[in-house]
Amino acid sequence: MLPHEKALVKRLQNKPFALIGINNDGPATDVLPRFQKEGITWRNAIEPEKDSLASQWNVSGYPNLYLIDALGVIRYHWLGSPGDDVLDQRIDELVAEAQEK
Amino acid sequence: MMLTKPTLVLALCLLGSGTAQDARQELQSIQQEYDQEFAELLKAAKALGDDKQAAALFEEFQKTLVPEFAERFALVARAHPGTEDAFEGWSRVIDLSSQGLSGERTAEALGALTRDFLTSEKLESLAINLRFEASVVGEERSIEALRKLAAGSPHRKVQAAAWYSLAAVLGEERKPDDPRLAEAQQVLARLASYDDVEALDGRSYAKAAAALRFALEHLRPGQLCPDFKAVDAEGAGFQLSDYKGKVVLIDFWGFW
Repeated sequence: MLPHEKALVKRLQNKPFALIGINNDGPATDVLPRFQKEGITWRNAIEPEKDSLASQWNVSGYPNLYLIDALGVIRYHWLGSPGDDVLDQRIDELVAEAQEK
Repeated sequence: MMLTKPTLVLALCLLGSGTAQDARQELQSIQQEYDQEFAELLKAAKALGDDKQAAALFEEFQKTLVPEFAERFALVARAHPGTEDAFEGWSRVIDLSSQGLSGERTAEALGALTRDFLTSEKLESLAINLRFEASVVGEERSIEALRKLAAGSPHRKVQAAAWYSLAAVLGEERKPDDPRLAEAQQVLARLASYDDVEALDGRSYAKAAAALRFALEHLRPGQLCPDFKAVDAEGAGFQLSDYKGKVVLIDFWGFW
């Protein structure tokens, strides 16, 4: 996922699009150096130990992806990546939709 | 790499003279052989260095060797009905569904496990795994087995795991008027009383059921995404609604 996400963020940097990671690898002091080393520049929520968003949303595996349109409506949900091409295509469709309005 | 006929004949002979000891050893040796074949497959796939060719190799493995191994496990299980060895044999058959096994043999294994071992607390793992393997095992078949486990097991942990998996399978994304969705809600309501049984993630099944209900009710495509508040790696607070007007990809992930 990571190389594709980097490309995605770069490709759509001037478009109405944002990637938000929800990461559960521990406290920010541990993960921030790893993010920097890996070149993860997009926003990542750091999950608390208790009552994490993943537990509230009942996330049962990774990666777990929700694609939200510009109006805030969930349009797609994938447990496990649908593949880079499908992801690109769906995102591009929704970005085009957002730009029309 | 291919399983040879003599091995199969040998297996049958061993079973013919079958003591419990023999059956145990036979199951172990079949498992070892399988593990070896699988390790070789991984090595071969890696050596190819080509995703499409590797996928073809896996497909071939799943089409030929996986059913053969399933049949060998099933032979042992059939020869010792109602015993620990049958339980092991049928469990291995179910395990092979993670390698694409489906069809008659899986149905036979599910049938035997839920009929001959309904009082075994070891069925907890079957109850848990069917949630993830339902699409391979077959949805109807999995639903039926889970209903049986949930209603028939004397063990609360098996009941809880089965009700939970049942709710998750029934609650897959479907048309809103599908009756399976209404049944999922009824099953979730039952789970409220399982606040004394721990699920895999350490929560009680009552809590896990509440989260599953939230997901079923609010996290479906077509619904307004619930807002959430979070703190990012730099320590700044934010919420999803800050991003209104933008397409957002939310990615729950972790380093491996």
